[in-house]
Amino acid sequence: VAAHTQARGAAQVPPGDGLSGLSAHSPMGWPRKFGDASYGVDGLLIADDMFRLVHDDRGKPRVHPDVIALGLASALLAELILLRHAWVDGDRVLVNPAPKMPHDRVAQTVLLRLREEPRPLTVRDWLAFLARSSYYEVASRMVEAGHVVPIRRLPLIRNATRYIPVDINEAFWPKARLAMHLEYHDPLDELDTILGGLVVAADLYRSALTCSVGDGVAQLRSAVAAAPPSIQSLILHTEAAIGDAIIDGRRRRG
Amino acid sequence: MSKRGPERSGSRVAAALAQGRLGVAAVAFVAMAAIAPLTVVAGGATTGWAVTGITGIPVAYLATGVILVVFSAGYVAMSAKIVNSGALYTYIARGLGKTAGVCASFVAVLAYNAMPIGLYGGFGKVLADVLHDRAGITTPWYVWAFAGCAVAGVLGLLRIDLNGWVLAVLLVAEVSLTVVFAVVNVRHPAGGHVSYDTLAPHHLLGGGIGAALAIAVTGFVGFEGTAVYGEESRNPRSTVRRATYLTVVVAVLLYGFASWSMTVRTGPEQIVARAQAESTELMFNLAAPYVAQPLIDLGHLLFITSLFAAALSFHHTSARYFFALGREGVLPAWLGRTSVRMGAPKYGSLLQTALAAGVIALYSAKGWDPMTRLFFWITVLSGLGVLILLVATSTAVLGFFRHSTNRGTDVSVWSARIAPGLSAVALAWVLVVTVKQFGTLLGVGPADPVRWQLPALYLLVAVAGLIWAVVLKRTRPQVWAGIGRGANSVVPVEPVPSTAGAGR
Repeated sequence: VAAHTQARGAAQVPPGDGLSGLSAHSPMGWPRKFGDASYGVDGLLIADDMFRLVHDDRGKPRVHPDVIALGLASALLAELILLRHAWVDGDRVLVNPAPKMPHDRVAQTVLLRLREEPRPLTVRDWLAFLARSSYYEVASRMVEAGHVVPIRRLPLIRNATRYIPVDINEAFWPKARLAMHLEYHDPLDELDTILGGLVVAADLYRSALTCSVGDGVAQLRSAVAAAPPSIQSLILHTEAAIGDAIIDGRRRRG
Repeated sequence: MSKRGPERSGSRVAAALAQGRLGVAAVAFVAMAAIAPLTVVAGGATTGWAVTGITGIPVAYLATGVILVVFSAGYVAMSAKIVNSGALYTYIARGLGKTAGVCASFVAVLAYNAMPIGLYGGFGKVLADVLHDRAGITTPWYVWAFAGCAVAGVLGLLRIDLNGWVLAVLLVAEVSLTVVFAVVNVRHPAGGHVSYDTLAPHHLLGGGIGAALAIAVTGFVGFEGTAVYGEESRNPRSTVRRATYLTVVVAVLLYGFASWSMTVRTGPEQIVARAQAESTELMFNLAAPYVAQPLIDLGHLLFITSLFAAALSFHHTSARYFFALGREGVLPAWLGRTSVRMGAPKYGSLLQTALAAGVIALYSAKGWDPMTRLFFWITVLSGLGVLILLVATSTAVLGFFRHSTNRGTDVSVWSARIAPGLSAVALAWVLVVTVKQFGTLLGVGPADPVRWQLPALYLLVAVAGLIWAVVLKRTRPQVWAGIGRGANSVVPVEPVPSTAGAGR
């Protein structure tokens, strides 16, 4: 626990640590993180924002758990890609051999797993693998950081824990941010491109976007199409993986 | 929808993903649940005798089984080479081109949607009859058909399929009971003499064999579903191959033995008359004097659960077809949307339920017979569609393996050339005789227009598919590029399935 706390502490370093093109503010000047202009290196917690997007303000999931797990898995990979620890080449995930580690504990774990593999695996393999634990990993990261509080609703039932946001405004922020971008046809940065891409991939737009759906989806898709190849590839593979999860649904139980 | 598995044994990811993967038995069980053996033997074969008057149905099951074993050689070899949903049209799109793929997808939508609709009819009628006979409750068949349709519709929306263990227990019980009844029949032959007449090959050349073969093909529909499990199986190649052969072989032995045993019990010359008089009760009536009543009751119960399990399975199949084609952009994109909370192919499921409810309503309003006209006609119509797809798939396997890059070094000449060639010819012959004798199959006179109206539906949708393919190619190149790839159509690069299994 002490180590985790330390890791979380380290996450609060100031912005601008070698991440070109990623500032604390969106191009329109909205802070990326609600109420906090300092959006540190490890503040690029895309999976946290994804977690907020897939739950409503009472911690109720908006989409199917399988879809959430794949979306969060993709967001965890995206965190490493944005931190330049990994990239996607075609359909494979390649790892930056530099020994540098991310500050965040979950990102560290994912990166270590990537490095352990003798050969590069496909995005789809990583999504399937990470989806097994992504929900728990991201949820516990958010609990540790004090963003959500776990409430056990029913005894003896798996997945009965709900994570209630501590600050409703913070929980709502990614949704509001995306909505503002789309409303004003404001160019999306890499982080919001990923989030927006995942919203489309997970069929979340009807519940997670407030603007007119058709418009929003078209904007998000064109943002993904203009994104760097790694991000584009990750998002499209995620959409395919989620589509397959829907088609194969019954087989993924048990 | 794919064959992707981590390629390295020794990889922790591969080891982790291998846990919970399906073995041969699990894959075969799910496919067997869709083909529903008791439904086929107690419902399909008996109604087949009654409607067509053809005695050679047992030998037709055997012949069809042999053809399908040959077909499977090329089918499983190609399935290991492409990322696919196990949907036959994806094979056709890859092997014969995208235009053929779109035509095939339209044929598939009609064929797979027809199957649960017909099964609801059988479910409603059998349940109403059993309730009447055993509990004295008189209810119209369509009440139960609507109920079955509604329950399957809700389960479809909730993305719930019967639990694997429930399916396995039901299936083992069904198969055991069918075998027990068949043994009882053979031990009590008509006139004290066991006749092998209905297994004699001469039936294959006789009149009406097209009808018998169509009934047999319908009985096997669902076996092709094993290929879907490539990604989920322990070893994409051997698991799917073994499970496919296992499914076909178990089915052919069971269908052949059980249907032949009924003709032994009644005598071949009496089977048609008895089937016409007793319909789906025939199988139970034949065994009734020699087995305890609880076993007969259990048989009825299993017959009903078998019909429902098959209907539910094909409901899911239809919903997934709509979803995959919606995702590809071949059908409207709204069909590719997910239900928000359940992660189900929502609109595909709703559309199938609406179609089914509409057909049941039509039948009840017109007073048409639910057993012969709904269960039998509509399921054999579905069987005809799958037969068309099987012919095209055999040809597609040949086309696919003509390219040496597709074939690689590990596909034998038998799997790449001989088997698909033989099965293409044999299945095409079955298709031709079936269409020729469709009147016999439906039990209608030669002047009745329904004998060509029903098969013509496939021609209609295939032509519609052809026109739509031309439109897509001209106007929507992005959609065109993704045809046959289901949910993967969003990924620009064609993914290559891994060749090694993840687990072992």
